[in-house]
Amino acid sequence: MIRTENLTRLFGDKKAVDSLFLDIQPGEIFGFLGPNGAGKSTTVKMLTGMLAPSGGTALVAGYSVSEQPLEVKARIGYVPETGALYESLSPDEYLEFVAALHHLDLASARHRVDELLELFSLLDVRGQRMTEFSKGMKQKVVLCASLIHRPEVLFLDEPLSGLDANTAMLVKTLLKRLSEQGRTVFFCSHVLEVVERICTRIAIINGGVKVVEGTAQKIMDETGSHTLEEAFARVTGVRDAAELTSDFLAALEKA
Amino acid sequence: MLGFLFEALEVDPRQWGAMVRVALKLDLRRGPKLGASRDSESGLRNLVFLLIMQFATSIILLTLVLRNQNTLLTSLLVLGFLMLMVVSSLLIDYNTIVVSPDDYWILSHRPISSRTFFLAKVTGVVVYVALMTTALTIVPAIGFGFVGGFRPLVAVGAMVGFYTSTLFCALLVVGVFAAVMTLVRPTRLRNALSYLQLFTSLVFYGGYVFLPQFFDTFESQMSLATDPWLLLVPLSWFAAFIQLASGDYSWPVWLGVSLSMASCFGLGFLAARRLSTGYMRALAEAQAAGAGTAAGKREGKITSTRLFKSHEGRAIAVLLWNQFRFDQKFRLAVLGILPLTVFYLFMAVSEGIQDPFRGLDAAMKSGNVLYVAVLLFPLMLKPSLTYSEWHEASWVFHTTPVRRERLLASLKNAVVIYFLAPYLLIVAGVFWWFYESAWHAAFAVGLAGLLAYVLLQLSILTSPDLPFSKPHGRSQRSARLLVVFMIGPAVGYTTPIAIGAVAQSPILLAGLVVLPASLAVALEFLVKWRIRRMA
Repeated sequence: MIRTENLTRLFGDKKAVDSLFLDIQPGEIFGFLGPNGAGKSTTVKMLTGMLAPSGGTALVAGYSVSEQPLEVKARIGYVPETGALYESLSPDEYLEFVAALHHLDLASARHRVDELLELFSLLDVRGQRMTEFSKGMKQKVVLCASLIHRPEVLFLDEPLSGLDANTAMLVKTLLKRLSEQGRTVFFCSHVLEVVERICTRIAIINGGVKVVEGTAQKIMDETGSHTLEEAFARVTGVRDAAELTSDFLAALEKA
Repeated sequence: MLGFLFEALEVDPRQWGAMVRVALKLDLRRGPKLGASRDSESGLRNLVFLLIMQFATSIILLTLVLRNQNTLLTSLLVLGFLMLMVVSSLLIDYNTIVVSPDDYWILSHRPISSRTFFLAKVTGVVVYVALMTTALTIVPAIGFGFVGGFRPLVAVGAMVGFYTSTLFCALLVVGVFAAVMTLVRPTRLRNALSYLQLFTSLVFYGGYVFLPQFFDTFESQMSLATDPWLLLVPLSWFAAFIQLASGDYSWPVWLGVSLSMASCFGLGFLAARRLSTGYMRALAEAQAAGAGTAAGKREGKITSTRLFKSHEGRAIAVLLWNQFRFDQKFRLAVLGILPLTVFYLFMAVSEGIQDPFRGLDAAMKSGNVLYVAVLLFPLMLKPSLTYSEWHEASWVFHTTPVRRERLLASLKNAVVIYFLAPYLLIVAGVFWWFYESAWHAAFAVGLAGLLAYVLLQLSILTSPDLPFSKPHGRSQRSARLLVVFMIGPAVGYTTPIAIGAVAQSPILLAGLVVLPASLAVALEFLVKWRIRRMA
């Protein structure tokens, strides 16, 4: 469903993503992890057709992101980390707009808007402009917009950001159900507990290079770690958190 | 017919319709988010205000049309003004229609072809341009129908000429923006677009200053038939529609009409065929390059804040100075005002600058336009201090123990120290050179500076917004600039005349300073009072 070979992206001389190989099957929830600036978002932008690769190839839902970007875009849903949407519109207006962009007829669009708004408990505010919405409510609308055209592949960049515990649980369950239907989920998050719990496979990227890939258990075994968090820290080379915090607290006490 | 057109352009009509509808809704609804009244219709209000101002301006154009029997001369004047207004509005307020960062995150992963996206953008621009054209020219166009008898066809010809000219402007601006996007390296795109904006604003200000003088030199009997060289000026292509409707069927008139239509078709074809295909990609590259290279280019350096004693003052000093250093848009908004001074200085020198203390006659030619420039400077700067792409960062003012009145006082002081004072020093040097009296130059510049300060206070009183706290909205700056360009010249021209009128009486001269100084003190209290009431 997602296959990349030698996928590379340069910004000037800097390699944001360096020769990335991925092979993700239908029905997988694939966790894509990395520290800030590691190249996760650049990878997602290339896979969603938002940014042209500098080198290599990428196929999503059977289509090349470079050669057939519109075919790819028709089959994917995307939740950006920015949670961007047109806030001056109401959820109803925004979702109908997105439905029109995906060529859904009006009746189907209205039906799906109703379904999604009900699922995310937004029916009461469907006609209100989103300028007054909380971050979590806006995130719910972004999630609805990514699902309205029933995509084959979902790219989620921090999808649980701002969501309350109940909605987060709902989204996690929904993702599992979607994967059972054979849809592929590409999941980027810094919440490692969630990634560990729901992802069937995980890759960790650092400095644009994939450093490890496999199931959570395999990664822990390979790195000799007890938790995914510990494994992540080891492969991305951060200083010991306990040591860092004690330095800071000592400085704070002196002040 | 429309379906055939969409097919020929390879545009998806449903997506195009949805994008245009949403874009218009967003523009009309877009309002402030933080720290201001919740007025969700401010986009509509700004647009209506701009249209009313332009309609009012059109009355002045009407008097021009009715006073002069040479329709070519007046149509050139109206067209020149119209095209300058439209181009400047597109550059000042509507450039984000063409290059919007929001669109990248929301639309670039949707299955929209580059051409559909581009046409939706162009349509948005054309809608606004059509509204502006109607507001500015419907009255003068009707006026043309009454020049030399009742001739309704001439009025129709005028409207056709006006709409064609502004369509040309819209296509030209969008085309140049899109061409720059596809030709310039993504990492340099933002800077290139900003410099393009600066360059065209130079043309706008230059036009504002020079156009009336330029048309003064025209001979009243000039016509396209007898002076075909006029076709070298594109304005005359669109004026040819009026000549044609007036019954002039000479070859230069037909050539003018043909050139106007060919230029619109040519620009439209170029945009549809060449520019639209790479547009979406260029937008994505620009966004990605911005994200990839923004950090670490220049090292941050905390500016000297010794001039500011309060905590709010220090905060504002740091913010303002670093916005100037790092925010290209803000920097260009400030620097973009300087050419106005150069133009005004040029005008003043060409007219001759005399010392206003020598009496009323001298005061009429004492570099009055430079007084206008001094007064316009803080007024034009004020909107740039309020509207920002990063307006959401202003939450910091709401969550820290700062006092709004101190923040605004500090902002005003920072504008005076960083921008107005250095500017006044330059003008003082010019006056000293021409007046040949340091005391006279100091008095004149001091008075102009004081009046500029009062206008700045009035501007803060009418809109006491926190610094960089509002999102850019359509029509805001165009509408404000229209007001500014009415107040600035009115006060600016009368200031040296007032000096000239009372120059012989030291008491009256002192009164000339005491009056605005008292006003400044009163306004200081009024601003504080208003801010406390808002809290």
